[in-house]
Formats: sequence, C-alpha cells, structure tokens
Amino acid sequence: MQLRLLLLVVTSFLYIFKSYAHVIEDIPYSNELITAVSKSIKWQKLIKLKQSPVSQNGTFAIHSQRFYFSEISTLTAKEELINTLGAFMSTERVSNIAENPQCRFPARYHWLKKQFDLSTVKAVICQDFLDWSKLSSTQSLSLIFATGYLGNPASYYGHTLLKLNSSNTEKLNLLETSVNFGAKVPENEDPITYMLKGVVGGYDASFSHSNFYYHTQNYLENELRDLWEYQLNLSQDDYYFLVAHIWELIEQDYIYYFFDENCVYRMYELFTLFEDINLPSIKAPWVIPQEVVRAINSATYKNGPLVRKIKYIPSRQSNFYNKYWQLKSNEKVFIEKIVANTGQLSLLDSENLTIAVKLRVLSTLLDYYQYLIAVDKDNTKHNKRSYTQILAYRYKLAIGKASFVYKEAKSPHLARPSSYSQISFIHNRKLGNGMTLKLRPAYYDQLDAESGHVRNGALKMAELDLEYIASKLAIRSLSIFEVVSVSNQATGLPYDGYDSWKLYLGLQKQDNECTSCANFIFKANKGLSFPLLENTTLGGYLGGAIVENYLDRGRVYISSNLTLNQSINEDWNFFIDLEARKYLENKQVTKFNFKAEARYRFRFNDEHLDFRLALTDNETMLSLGYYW
Amino acid sequence: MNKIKILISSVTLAVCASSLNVSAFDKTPGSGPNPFSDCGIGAALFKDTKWAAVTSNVIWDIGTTAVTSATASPQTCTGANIIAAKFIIDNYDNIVEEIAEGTGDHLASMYGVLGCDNNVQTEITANIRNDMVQVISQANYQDQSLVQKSSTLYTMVNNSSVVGNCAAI
Repeated sequence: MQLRLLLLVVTSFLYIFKSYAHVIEDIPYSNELITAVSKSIKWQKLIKLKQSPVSQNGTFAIHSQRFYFSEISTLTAKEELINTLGAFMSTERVSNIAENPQCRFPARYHWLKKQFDLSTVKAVICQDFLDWSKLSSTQSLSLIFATGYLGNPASYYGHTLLKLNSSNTEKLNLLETSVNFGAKVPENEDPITYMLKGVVGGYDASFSHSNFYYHTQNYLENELRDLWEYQLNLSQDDYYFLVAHIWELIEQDYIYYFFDENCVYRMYELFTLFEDINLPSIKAPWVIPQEVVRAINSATYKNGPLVRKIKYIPSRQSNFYNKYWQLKSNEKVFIEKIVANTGQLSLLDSENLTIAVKLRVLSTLLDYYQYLIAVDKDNTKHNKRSYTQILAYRYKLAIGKASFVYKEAKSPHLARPSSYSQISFIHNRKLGNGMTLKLRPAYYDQLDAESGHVRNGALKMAELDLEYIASKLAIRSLSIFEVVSVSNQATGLPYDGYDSWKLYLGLQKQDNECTSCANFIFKANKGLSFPLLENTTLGGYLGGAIVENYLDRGRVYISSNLTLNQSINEDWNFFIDLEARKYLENKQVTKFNFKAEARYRFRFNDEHLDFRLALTDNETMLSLGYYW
Repeated sequence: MNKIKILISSVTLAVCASSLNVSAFDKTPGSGPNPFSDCGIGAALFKDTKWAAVTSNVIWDIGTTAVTSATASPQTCTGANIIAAKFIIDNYDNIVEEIAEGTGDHLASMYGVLGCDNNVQTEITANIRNDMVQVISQANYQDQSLVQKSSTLYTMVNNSSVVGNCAAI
C-alpha cells in the first residue's frame, strides 16, 4: 500500500514536472530579462540560494524537492525561474487549488508579477492560504523573543517566533497564528548525540505554525520563561509578501546548525527580504537570539523605526515574584501560614481583612502553586490539590482583580551585545608583569548579566583566555561551558528556596604561580544564594572537581565557596569568591583561593565597554573590555 | 417490499439529516454538541523539558493529539466550537482563574473565537462563574480529569443564557 502510494506520488510529480518542462519553450520573455531577474538578490532569497565559495551556482538552503519546480540535483536560479514562470502559466492543468503554483508559492507569484507581464495568467483564490494568513483582517506582525532557559542547553540563549496579528487591539489574542523554526529532533534522543548532531548539522529543521497559546503555555507556564513581543511596522504590501513567503516555507526542510544557521538566523533572514529596510548585520559568525532582537530594534524601515511597539509578557514565575515582593509583611505571613496548611485559608474569613488584602494573598498563592506545579514534579498531586482549594476559596469572593503594580521590565534589546573581548595588564608577584587577552563568544559572567540574563549568574561557552607572562604565551583558561544558576528572587517558601548551582568544563590553571599549566577540569557545586538586600546576594557552595594531576596533588578535590555579589549602582558592581579546596589523593593538600573583582560599565561612541579590577592571591589585573 | 424499505430508509435519513441541520443552527442555550464527548478531544502535549525534547526546538505535533476521532457530524468536529474546545482544555487553569477575576486575555480569546459580542461577555462570565462556584466546591472536582473539567466548562459556556449573542455557538 505504501509502495503504491509512493509510486503515485513519484508519478504525479514526474507528470507535473514534465508538464512544466513542456511549457518552458512557450515562455514569452526574453532570455536577457530572465537572466537579469534570476540574478537578482530578491529572487535568490526567495528560492533560498546563497553564494558559495565551493559552488559556482551557489548552494540552496532548502533540500525539499517540493520547494522547487526544477530537479533539485541540477538546480540553478535561472532554471528555477523558468520553471516557476512555466508553472504559473499552466495553472489550468492543476485541478486541485491547494496544489496550484499560485497557492503553493504566493510570494513568488506576487513578486514575479512585478517583474514579468503575467496578465495572461488567471488569478486563483487560494482559500487555504487566505484562511491561514487571515489577510483580510490582519494588521501586523510581531517578533516574539523567549528569554533563555538554564534547564536545557539548547535554550540557554533564548528563542524567537513570529506572530501574525489579526487585530490591532491592546489585548493579547492567544489564538493568533505563530510561526516557529525548529530542528526536528527524534524523541528520546540522548544528550550527547543531540548536542553533536545539533552542532554539525545532523538534523533537519523547518518552519511550522501553531496557535500562539501553544507557546505561551510552554514558555510562560511550563518553562517559566518571559516573552517579549516586538510589533513591527510593515506596509501592507511587505506584510503580504512576508506572510506569503512564510507560507511557502512551512514544512520545507533545511539543515539545522546550532551555532549559525539556527532558528533565529532563519527569522532574521526573512526580514532581509524587504527593500526599504536598514537592518544591522550580525557581526559574529554565530547567531544569538538576543543579537537578532537588538538588530530588529535598531533597524529602520521606510525611514522610521521597524519596531512599532514593545510588550512584556511575564511568566507565571515572574508574576509570582512580582506579586510576592509587593506584599506587606502581614500579607506574607498569611501566605506562609496557608502554604504550611491550606486549612489556614479560614484566616482570610476575618472581617478585619479588606477584600483587597484577600485578593492580593489569593492571587499570589494561585501563582505560587502554578509555579510549583511546573517545577516540583514529585508533588504534583499535592500542589494541584492546594491550588484547587485556593481557587475554590477565591470563587467565594466577588469578581475583581488583585491590585498590584506591574513592574516595568527592561527589554533585552537594551542590553549590551552578547560577545566580549578583553585586554588586561597583570602583575604577578612571582612571575612579574604580563598581559592577557580574552575572547568570549557568549554570553555573560557573574558581573555583567543584564536584561534577559540571570542576574549574578553566568553562562559562558568557548571563552578563551590567553596570557603572555614570563616570556611565555600560554592558555590561561578555556571554558567549554560554564554555568552559574542563582535564585535571585527566591521567596524561601517551600520549593522556592535559595538553591543555586555551578558547572564548569574546560581548561583552567590550578593556581596562578605557574604558566603553561592550564589543566583539564570538570567542576560541580551546589549551594544556596540568599538575596540579603535588593542589591546584595550572599552565596555558599559545596562541591568538587575532577582534574589533571598537578604537582602530584591528585585528580580529585572537594571544595567550599563563599561568594558575595554586590551592586553599588547601575554601572558599578563587584564580586568576591573565597574558596577552600582539599585534594583527596596523595598528600591531601589544602588550598585557599581568594578572588575579588570590581566592574564599571560605560558607553563610548555608542559602544559598550567596561573596566575591571581583579585581585587574587598573587595577582592584580586591570582590564578593558569591549562588547560586540 | 424492497422499494418500501428504500423509501422508509430514505425518509428516515432525510429526517435525521434535517434534524442534524437544525441542531447545527439551533442557538438555544445548551443545545449544541459537546466536542469533548463527540470528537475525542484531549489536551495538547505540553511535555516536561528533557535534554532532547526542548519544545522550543521541536515542531509541535499539531492536529494529531487534539482530535483523535471524528465520529459525529462534520459540523461538530470542525469550526469555531472545536477550536474553542481545544483552547479550553489547553488553557483550562488560566481561563478558570480569569473567570474568578472576571476578565483576562485567555477569557477574551475564548470569547473571540466563539464570536461573543463584547457587550455580553461580562454577563456570560457572571453566569459561568455562578455555575463554577458549585462545580469547584464539589468533593470530586479535584479527581476529575482535565477532559472532564474542560467538558463541563464548555457546557457551562454553551448553557449561558446570553449565548445567543455568540456567533459561533
């Protein structure tokens, strides 16, 4: 049966292909015109052709045969143009409207009509496309940015989507169509294969569409990630063209590359289709979602800003923290008592309490339990029961919203660029004076986290630190990855504790009295970080590491750390880390390490820079950093 | 004899077809079909995040998890009511919280797909809320499945006395 189906599909394709091939001879356009149009950038973007140093004809980003009228193995821009025109001119041969070339490729048709006289081509009504795009009433397009998520490496840097807005109201319509680009990862893929295949292009990826609420449920309620909506200012003609092109791309297969040709790159690429746009290029060879958000926000379109409106959509967790930290102390006491025993809800029966207080307490509790349902999978039943009790109590009170101030969040596009270079002058008491050069492709450390990052946390990948000291050039450190997860706003309520953790994999010097001595190290620490004050976070960690044997100290050590993060103002902050480390082999050496680092950030000619002063046991380091 | 059987069958079919047609356009509160029981709707799969199952990077399997069978009439399992039913089950907690408060984006989105006039939404919400107070305080509410709860909510919306002002119900 399947074989028969396959044969039918192949035969149908060959028939259609042959039909188009037959028509090519009849195309009434000059070879010069066809050649010129086929060489135009717009046409090449429409068919996903990119210039390639290895192929004279360029390479095609999509490898689905269905995306092309020409045979994919011998595809060229000119041949595809001829076959596309031929297909449009022979539409009467296609009885199924959905398969009509105009309906499969509305953007190509829209654009080619302006390049060629297609007046003889009978226009058809593509109902499926019209229903999907809601073009009759659609007003605008939004880029959605989901902030990073430390629960999964593939989501560390965030994600982007598109949303087609069918109305222009302020309210969020959760049934709007959203467009996603993602890799097609098989279920139960193991992590190593997943990462390797993601990096080397082992997965197909494609655009897909769904109702926006699939993403709001996933991001806001499950993964607890905030969303940012950037509504774009597009003309109706460009809007139609873009939406029509997205329709062409749905379910067409690309190759997915985690670092560059990833989800956000494909979104960025879409915006380059417009002629009246001035879109900043992505400087780095890797593409990070936040950089595309920055580019979109600084882009101009028809001499005005591309972004018309910005909206912050907080996650359930953000809502909970926002509400909890606005509660008065007596309201927090009610929360603690009710969380300890939901039977204590009867405390709210007191006639001395205003309805406003009751609503604030209940609203915060509802968010708290929804947050727990997302994170505390071992106690789902208990949490759902408590949630239902709170909700039932809420229904006993009158209709009305709890009164809270909704915090103005800073959009991630206002943060500094994601990549960092730093030059430092060091004085080492044993080795003398020297210099270091650091390159960090992404993303942030414990001093420079900004909007869209985890404050006081760290997320680094492939950070290389070179030193030239004692007449030797050597690797000072090379992190494959470093993650520090800190609970900045934890309430201390059950399952919302101050848990924090750190992971490091890479090369690092085990002390700073040597050079050319960076060793392999894998470190893991678990601990607590307490937000003592709004700008002061104190952390304590226990953990250990597997290392290369250095000075015969052995290959395993355990460690404890005491840390302090302090912000003085928006531009000044510092970080102190005290470490006690005990090696478990050989002489069981005990080492104490001290590090203090202060940072001052500033802007110069619209560029983002920082000064840092770092002190360790034997070194003083003064650095100038540049974000790009 | 055969002719009589055919005639009776045809008449019966015609009557059934016309009654189906009537019910599809009958806007009496509570008269509409329930997509949960008639179309086998289940919640979309919002997975726990796993290493290789990052939902942000996985194509949603839309359409296969929602409508598992469509044994009822085509009108029952297509169109706005099925979209609303899917929306209710996938956003149940948010909708119920917003009904308690009286307003919200989820509630507005639900009314949007059902085509309810703005001027009747407050009244519909008040009606649903009255019913919900009874339902949520029942001892077995917690033990009901999400499908059961959503089906009940859908029925409440359908039963609302001003539902005639919703174009899609």
